[in-house]
Amino acid sequence: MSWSVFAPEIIVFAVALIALLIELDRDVKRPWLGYVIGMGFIGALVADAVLLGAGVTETAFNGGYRIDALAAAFKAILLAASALVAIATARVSIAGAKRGEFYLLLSLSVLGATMMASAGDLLVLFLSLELTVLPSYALVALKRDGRSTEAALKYFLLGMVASAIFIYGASLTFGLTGSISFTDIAASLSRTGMSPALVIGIITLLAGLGFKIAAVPFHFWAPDVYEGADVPVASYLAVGPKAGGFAAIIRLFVVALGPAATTWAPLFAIIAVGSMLVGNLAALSQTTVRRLLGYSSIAHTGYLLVGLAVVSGYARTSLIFYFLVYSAAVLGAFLIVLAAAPTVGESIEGFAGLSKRAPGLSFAMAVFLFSLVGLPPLAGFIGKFYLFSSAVRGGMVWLAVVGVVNSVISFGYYSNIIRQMYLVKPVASSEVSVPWPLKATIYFLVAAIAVIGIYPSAILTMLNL
Amino acid sequence: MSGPELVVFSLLGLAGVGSAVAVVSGKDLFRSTLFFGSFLLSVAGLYFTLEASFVGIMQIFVYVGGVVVMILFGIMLTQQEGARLNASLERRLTVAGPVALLAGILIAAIMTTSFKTVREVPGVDIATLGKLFTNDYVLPFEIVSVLLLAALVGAVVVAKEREK
Repeated sequence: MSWSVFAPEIIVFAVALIALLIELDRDVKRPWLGYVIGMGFIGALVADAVLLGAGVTETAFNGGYRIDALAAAFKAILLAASALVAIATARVSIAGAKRGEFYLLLSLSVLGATMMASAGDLLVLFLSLELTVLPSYALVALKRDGRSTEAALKYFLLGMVASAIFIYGASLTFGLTGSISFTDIAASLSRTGMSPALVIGIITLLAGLGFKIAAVPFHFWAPDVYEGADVPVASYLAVGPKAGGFAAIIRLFVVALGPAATTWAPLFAIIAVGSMLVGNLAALSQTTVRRLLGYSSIAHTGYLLVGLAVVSGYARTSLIFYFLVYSAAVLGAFLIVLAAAPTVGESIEGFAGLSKRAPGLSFAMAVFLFSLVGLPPLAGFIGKFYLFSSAVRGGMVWLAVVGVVNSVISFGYYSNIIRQMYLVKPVASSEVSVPWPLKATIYFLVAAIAVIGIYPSAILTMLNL
Repeated sequence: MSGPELVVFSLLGLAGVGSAVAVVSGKDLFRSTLFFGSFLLSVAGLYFTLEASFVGIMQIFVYVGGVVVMILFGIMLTQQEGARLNASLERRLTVAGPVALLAGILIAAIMTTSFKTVREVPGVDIATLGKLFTNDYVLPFEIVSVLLLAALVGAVVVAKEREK
């Protein structure tokens, strides 16, 4: 084992330390800090891409840490999203906090999510999960107004309950199999088979991790947090902890609990359908863009879980691909809110006539929303196509039908924003001024969604789909 | 488990259940917290009878010494010493019902499952644990240290005065 395989984690931790040390120096004005942190994340991304390209597969720390294609893929999405968040927020003021504090907590959370993607046993999984969410609680509270405090408190309390439930399931699983290592658990389970306590263990583990990805019925925190937190924080939360959560779910359920797949796959199907329906139906009646995005992200968790309800490698690869596509679009949509909110506010009606005041931003927002709906030729279409076709291939046609019906429902609320932007007369005519790093990040995401949509094989060959 | 051990184990178990009931049925916040402490102590006692003395000591250190003391601090700092917990009987029952159902399911599941039983865990003393923490399990150990850093920074950031 060479230390070079830990390069992404080491770089991310170094980034966190840079933010911490710079924060100690109170007098420095630091508009450049965002670029430094962003470049750090890009450095980690490059290191991770090299590992992914070289097909490195390593197990370290007594089976507790695994570096493989699955981990590298999720880390790549996570690090790219974090780098974009850091660069986009370089010239945006962070409400209630100093820049260094924001980037420090952000990079610690990113570190946790990276490690979660590589976790090879229950102990590392739990600790990295806590490392992901603990800084997130503080990030949500940064803004310090009533809404943000309420959201942070809700997030914190529900998160602690979820962690306790997860630990309960982990201890049951350990008691049944005598091991915390995922491969040993799988070996032990294929010998002993199912038992009532294991079913409880699976349900509790699922509940603990379901919280992190905001799946129904563990989703109550999501709309409040996405709306209450400062926008830069919300844009990270929509992607970061979810990336770690999905990687951990794939690893825990497919690798460790693989022999019990017939028990957990139907559970995932139920949660998938519930998340899609609750997310989409609740999103229909929202009046602010961020709350709408919060509910729609719950719906997208539902689509993604289709990749776990269908137990096949093809379905899981589709999940990873759709996660990439979803991340790009949802991050873009949040960054548009970040760019537009100071001028037009956050209500959907505030976006009226935005196409006249900021044609570039409106076009970008339309691209992001159409991609979230899944319209061709954008990336969202390819993502949903693979995800739902995996359900059909796996003999779960009904799940694919539910997914498609839900996509149609989602068109209702996404198109409402687009209608406001393009067809409704503007209430004011002032220009929307956007700092250039934020603008550059948004256009980069638009380009990424278009390129992946038109030429998906660039990514798909990397994932072996 | 032999005769006398079983008696001690059962007594500790009863003490645990008794103090747990006292925690939820009491009307005085301060007193409930103290009963919570005695519940945690009985659980520590159970660990000792199971020959897991390290876990038992940790239970006392962390829960009785840490958690209960922190709750007491919280009560005193917010000046709630005389606070009365006046939830109505109806409300208590609506919570108690689902909790009892859940506990019943858990107990049923655990009783009907045959767990791997290990007669004796060889050589688990603190020295071995310490060695494991610096060898096989050094990664979790390090993650905890970063986690503490995150908790420290997070607490300071949340608690300090708002930036102007």
